[in-house]
Amino acid sequence: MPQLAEPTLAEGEPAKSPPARRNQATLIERFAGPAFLVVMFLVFAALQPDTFPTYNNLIAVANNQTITALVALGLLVPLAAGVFDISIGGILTLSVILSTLLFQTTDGDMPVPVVILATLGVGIAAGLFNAILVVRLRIEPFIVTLGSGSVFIGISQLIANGKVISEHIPQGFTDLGRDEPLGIPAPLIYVGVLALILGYVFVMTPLGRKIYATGANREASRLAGVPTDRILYLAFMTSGVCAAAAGLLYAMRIGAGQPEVGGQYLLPAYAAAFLGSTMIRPGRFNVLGLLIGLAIIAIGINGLQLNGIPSWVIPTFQGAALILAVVLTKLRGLGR
Amino acid sequence: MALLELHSISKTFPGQRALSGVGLEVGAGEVHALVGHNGSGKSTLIKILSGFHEPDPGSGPATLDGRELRFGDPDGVQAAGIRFIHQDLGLADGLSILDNLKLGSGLYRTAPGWRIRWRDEREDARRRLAELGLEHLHPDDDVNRLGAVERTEVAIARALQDSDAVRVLVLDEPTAALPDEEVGRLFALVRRLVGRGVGVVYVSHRLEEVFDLADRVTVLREGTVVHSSPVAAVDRRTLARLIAGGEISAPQRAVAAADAETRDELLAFAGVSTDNELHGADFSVRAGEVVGLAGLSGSGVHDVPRALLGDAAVSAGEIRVGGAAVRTLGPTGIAALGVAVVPAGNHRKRIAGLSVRENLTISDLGPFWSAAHFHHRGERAEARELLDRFGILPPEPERPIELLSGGNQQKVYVARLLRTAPRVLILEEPTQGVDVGGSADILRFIGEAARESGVAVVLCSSDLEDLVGVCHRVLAFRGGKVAAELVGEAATREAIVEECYLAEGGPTHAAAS
Repeated sequence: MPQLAEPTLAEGEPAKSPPARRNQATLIERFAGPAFLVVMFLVFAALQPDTFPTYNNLIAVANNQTITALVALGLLVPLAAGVFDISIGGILTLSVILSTLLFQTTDGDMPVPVVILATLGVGIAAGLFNAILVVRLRIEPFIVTLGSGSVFIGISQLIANGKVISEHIPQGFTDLGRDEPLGIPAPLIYVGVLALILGYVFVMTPLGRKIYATGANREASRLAGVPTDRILYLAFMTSGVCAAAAGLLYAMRIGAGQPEVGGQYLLPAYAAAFLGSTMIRPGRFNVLGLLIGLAIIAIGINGLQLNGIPSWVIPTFQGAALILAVVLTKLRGLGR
Repeated sequence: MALLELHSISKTFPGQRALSGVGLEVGAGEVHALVGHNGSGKSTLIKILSGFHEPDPGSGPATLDGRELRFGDPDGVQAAGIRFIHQDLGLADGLSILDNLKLGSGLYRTAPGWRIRWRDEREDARRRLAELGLEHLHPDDDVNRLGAVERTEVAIARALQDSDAVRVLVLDEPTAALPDEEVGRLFALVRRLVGRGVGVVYVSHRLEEVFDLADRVTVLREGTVVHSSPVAAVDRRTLARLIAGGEISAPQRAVAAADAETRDELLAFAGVSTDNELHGADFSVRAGEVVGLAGLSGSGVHDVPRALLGDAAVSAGEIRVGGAAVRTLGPTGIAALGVAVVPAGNHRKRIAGLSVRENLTISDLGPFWSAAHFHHRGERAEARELLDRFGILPPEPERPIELLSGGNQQKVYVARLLRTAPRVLILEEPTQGVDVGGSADILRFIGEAARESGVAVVLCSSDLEDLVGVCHRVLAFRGGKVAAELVGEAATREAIVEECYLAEGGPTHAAAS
């Protein structure tokens, strides 16, 4: 645990802490999260040996998190670049309504790939809209996306006319969210592919480094030659397209569009991202950490529910996880 | 007995003696000017007086009216009647003059129900402003709509609101942000205060102001008082010499750029004006040359890097690199032309949250990226090599950048850009906040880059030693243009200070908008 009593370093003062001690702390920090996940798993497995540690239950728990995972993975890019995007719930809602409405108004005649591409395109456009306000007009990302997210929900309600859209959704579309090739639910494959792509970008490309640099100090990175404006455009468009993909997945799995679905995914996405930033690569938003964070939240809730704990636990658990993650980050910063 | 007396004040910062045995006396109704070059200890002394810093044990005493002041006690200083106007005025933008005046003075007068008695407050503010001769300030105006001089006046009015209690007023470079024609109004206000028996400590860079306003002058150099006398007893040239350091230092340049004339001109400013401080600056720098830019704040020196980085808009003239006009100013635009700028200010260079290695390589990741693969091993090897070459301590590439000392961080930022092999390198205050050894190293790297790689180097520095130590030429800026060029042996500390300080008409600012 970092020591709170240690005085913070004044500007330009040489550091005194021995490196060996810090590296040890880092090792514990890095794997405390995964270790906690394992312990929690074992505890629930011991408490409910017949229901909890079964293949079906675990696959169902994982499958239930796929929509959140898509949103959260996309969110990782703006967070790593140092900006908030809270319009993702709105974009998700818009995507659900838009894709189902395109089928309903064409009596299911519109080809599935066209609907998917059009919906993803709208997600990118929504991200572009956020980015223009943030980059060109220099408005706080939090405010921009708080407003735009609400606008996207409003547009969704307008075009849905307040109704649930469930007619003429072709099976070719819903199958994409329900198939289980080789016994693995298709949504898990989508999440795996997106996680691999983002992990590759973050760790194995100069772009990933530039995203982290932008998030660490935008002005200094800009002066060092990082195209920070372009990074921000990319960040918002990535979170936009991922939220749209999550909306498509929702429509595929439910086979209907309700105009008030997006809000429930915002908090778990943030909780997982922040929890993930405290492990594996502490201090940095990272893909593996996010997936483990998501697993901690999902398994925690599932295990508690199997033990008969009521549903109000879910938001409490998610919120507590988010606060805990931020507190851990803060303590780490103070320990420096 | 003087009104305010400071005796033998010493202050040591880690690795640096900022003040040793400094004394200062200010009489009632007297303006005492405190002058000295950057780093001479002026602001440290002011901060000790204000209670922000505590002096070394054994310093003092400090007395006001013969009563001893406690060090490190801002409230006590305030209660004793000493007021400060800092360079950053500390006004709350977006609030009215009235609200800003109330900021320092406690509570608003209220009617039942905690309703503020606005009419009384407004009347009160108007009366207090009138007392100071500031009738032109309206209590309801927003401070962010005011010009620079009005803002300074509001700050003074706020400092002086319980005017009967004020004994000493300390003004720290109050005219730095003021256009010349406005300075007179500020002086009139100061003279009115002096007429009421207030003692004034006036910190300034501008010698003409010292002669206009002050009764006594004290010169600080390297933390000691080198001169203290009535203003009438010195002339400007003597004062400049005292600030610079008296003896003429022998320039110790590694190489005189004898063949500079034949080299390519790599960077040229042709009649460049910015919307800020530059007003038709003309100069050029050739390959292998180190050119120093010297000037007081507001002289335009710092607009040279700002213009290149796109942070100050060029309104006239042309910036040329390698003979061709630069079309896109800004970090990435000029980087494509082989121009690198190391800006001043740690927060504009330090990418905290990234490691030393990542901070070193961020400006060019191309060498590590091939076949869709990032060569982390190659990056680590190069980082280690850079740490070694630039003597950065400790040589641990994975250390968080914020855990390095100021000097070692600065080396990282210089190395970051030198490894991109620029043709032109501009450094803004590269040795500010850097210890002596680190400064020498950084200057050596700069000299080597010019000599061995033919880099055209521009050094914007307020440190005379830096300029004298490595520059082939020094350009003195005044009023937004190059006022004098000092070549080789002629660029002595004394000559640089004289050219920078001794403006005949003072800097010619455009009227404040």
